[in-house]
Amino acid sequence: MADISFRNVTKTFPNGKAAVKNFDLEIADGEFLVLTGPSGSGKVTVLRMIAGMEPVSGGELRIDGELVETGKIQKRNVGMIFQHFTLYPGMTVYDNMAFAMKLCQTPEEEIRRAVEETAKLFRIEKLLSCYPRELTELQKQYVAMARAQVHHPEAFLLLDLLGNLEFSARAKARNRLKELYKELGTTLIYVTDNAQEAVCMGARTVVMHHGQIEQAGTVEELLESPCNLFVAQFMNEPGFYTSEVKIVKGHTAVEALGDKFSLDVPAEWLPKLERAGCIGRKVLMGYTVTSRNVPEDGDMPEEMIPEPDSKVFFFDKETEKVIV
Amino acid sequence: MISNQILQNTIEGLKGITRIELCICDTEGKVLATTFPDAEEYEFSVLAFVESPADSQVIQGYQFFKVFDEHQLEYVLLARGSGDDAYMVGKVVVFQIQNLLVAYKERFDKDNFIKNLLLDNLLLVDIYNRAKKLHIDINVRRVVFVIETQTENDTVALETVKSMFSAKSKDFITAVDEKNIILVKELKSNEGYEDMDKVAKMILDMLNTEAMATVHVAYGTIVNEVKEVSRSYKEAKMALDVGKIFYSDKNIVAYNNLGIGRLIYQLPLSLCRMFIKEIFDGKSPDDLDEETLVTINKFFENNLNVSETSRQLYIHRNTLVYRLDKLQKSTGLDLRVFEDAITFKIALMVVKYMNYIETLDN
Repeated sequence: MADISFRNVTKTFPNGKAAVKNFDLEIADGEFLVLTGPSGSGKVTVLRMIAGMEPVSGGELRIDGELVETGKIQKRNVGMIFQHFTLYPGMTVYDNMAFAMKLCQTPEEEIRRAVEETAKLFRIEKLLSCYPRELTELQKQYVAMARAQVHHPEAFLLLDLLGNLEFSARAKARNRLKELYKELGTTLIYVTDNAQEAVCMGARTVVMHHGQIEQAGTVEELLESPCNLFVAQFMNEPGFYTSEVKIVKGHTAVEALGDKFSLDVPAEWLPKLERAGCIGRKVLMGYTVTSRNVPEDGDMPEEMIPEPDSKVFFFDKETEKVIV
Repeated sequence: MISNQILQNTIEGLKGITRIELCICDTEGKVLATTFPDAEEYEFSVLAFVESPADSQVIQGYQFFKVFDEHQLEYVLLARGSGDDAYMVGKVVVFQIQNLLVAYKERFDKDNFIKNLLLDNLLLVDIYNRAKKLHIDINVRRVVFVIETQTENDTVALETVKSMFSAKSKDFITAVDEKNIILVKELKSNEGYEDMDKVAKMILDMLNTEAMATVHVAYGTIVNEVKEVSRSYKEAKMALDVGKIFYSDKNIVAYNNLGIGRLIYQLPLSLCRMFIKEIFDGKSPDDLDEETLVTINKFFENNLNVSETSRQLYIHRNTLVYRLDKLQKSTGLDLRVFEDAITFKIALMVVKYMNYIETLDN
């Protein structure tokens, strides 16, 4: 599939709902990309457009340099595994992997070769004669991926795949996924609405909201220098709080005065705050609070004050864009 | 499946021609039809024969034969005599019974039964009788899914769905027409609508990823009796329709979750026309230009918030206000007022519905 390029792509459903708007994104050949954002932000629609299941309403979508026709459904050679995948319960792992090829009336010998090769790659040769009910969740996931790999897809599209695994299995699956990505060398797009999952993937990450890209960058960039309140909040949840503060310049230091706390602002932030005209004005302060101060059995409390090691951002009250 | 009377008639007719005594037992050794007395005495021999791997065997002066229905042992036939004649006649009788089984299958076939059940082609008494004969539980909770594929005659999609549910033979899958696959699913006692939503998601994800098919999935309400299955089917079909009109951004639609679309879908067309005439005075919202429609939709999306809407449309707040004023002049509805907004929203939905009905008529 090589590279995928979105230029001002829009997707509007017949009922008028705009799922994706002004979408610009370049995905390089063989890149590992994570697409994240809250549910309903349009991630899945983007995925479906790449897969050719959802026609593009406007703009340019190029795959491997070739323009995808607007309003047309085209099947593409992509391997997809979505969260609610299942294995055919009445078939062995081998038959599960061979099923689609059998439907296409591929010769038996060719099927056997493809299945065995792929099983080796995924290290599931020993499972080939097992039935799905005999497998663990993690093994099922490997089989599902192997089933998609049998066709040698040019790109892998994974949707919340690790979401239904236990916490401990998730880390294992994630590492295996990264290994496989290196071995396969194909483009891999992982979609999740869980920011922590996105962070753990450690790849280039795109944050979407209301059908648009809010910010794209490395995980560090998104965590350390978010472009607006939404990205800061989404990436740092749980444990991200906002509070209105007044920036006051004293004799020795600049302070952010909240209702329940005050905080010294680092001196190097002063120029930016001055430039934005924030001195003496109210701004929105966002800060992280580590969960160690939270009672173990409870959710994060509604209000918390910043801690000494909190990450702090200031946002414009109107636009919610980051100031510093 | 074949009544004992028919079996009796068959072997009596064949005995009349061949003069060989015959008897048919079930796999538990019970005599179903016989042309000679005291056939019960052979019960133990029949049971032993059922367990043995042989297809035919001579025991106590009788040729024993196994009668299979699609590889499943259905009956044991006894033909008196141990010579070649008894063997040949026995084989003929087995052949005859097997053909009868096929003929009866065709008539009482499960597939046909469910199709007729879905389409309301059965009398109430027939439903119970046939369900019993086909070993279909009557009082089990079921729900009907309708899966619509974009491409006609999508065998890959049908095969995928069949394979997904094949291990549970009590679920039933068929294609009623070229684009629709139907799944009648049996529910476990602890399963509810949440689980059905998961099933729908699973079907959607699997068809998307495995069959690369764009599909819409709809399902009806959970019914408690076999005779109500057709209702669940009709509901699923309606949900599919309503979903297409009002919720085209969704791939899964549940009948019990149709919202306001359900109400509008039930309205007679004449009433809709009157309503639209009253509100738009003979004009149609379709006459509104694209820009205005986008503005209105965005305004609704943002809960009638002027500043947020103008921000998202990249227009100045005053431009938006001007557009809303213009709309108010032409329709008399001020979208910033909740009452007017809701009237307009419903009117838009009614128009969508009317357009859909008109495309059906053409």
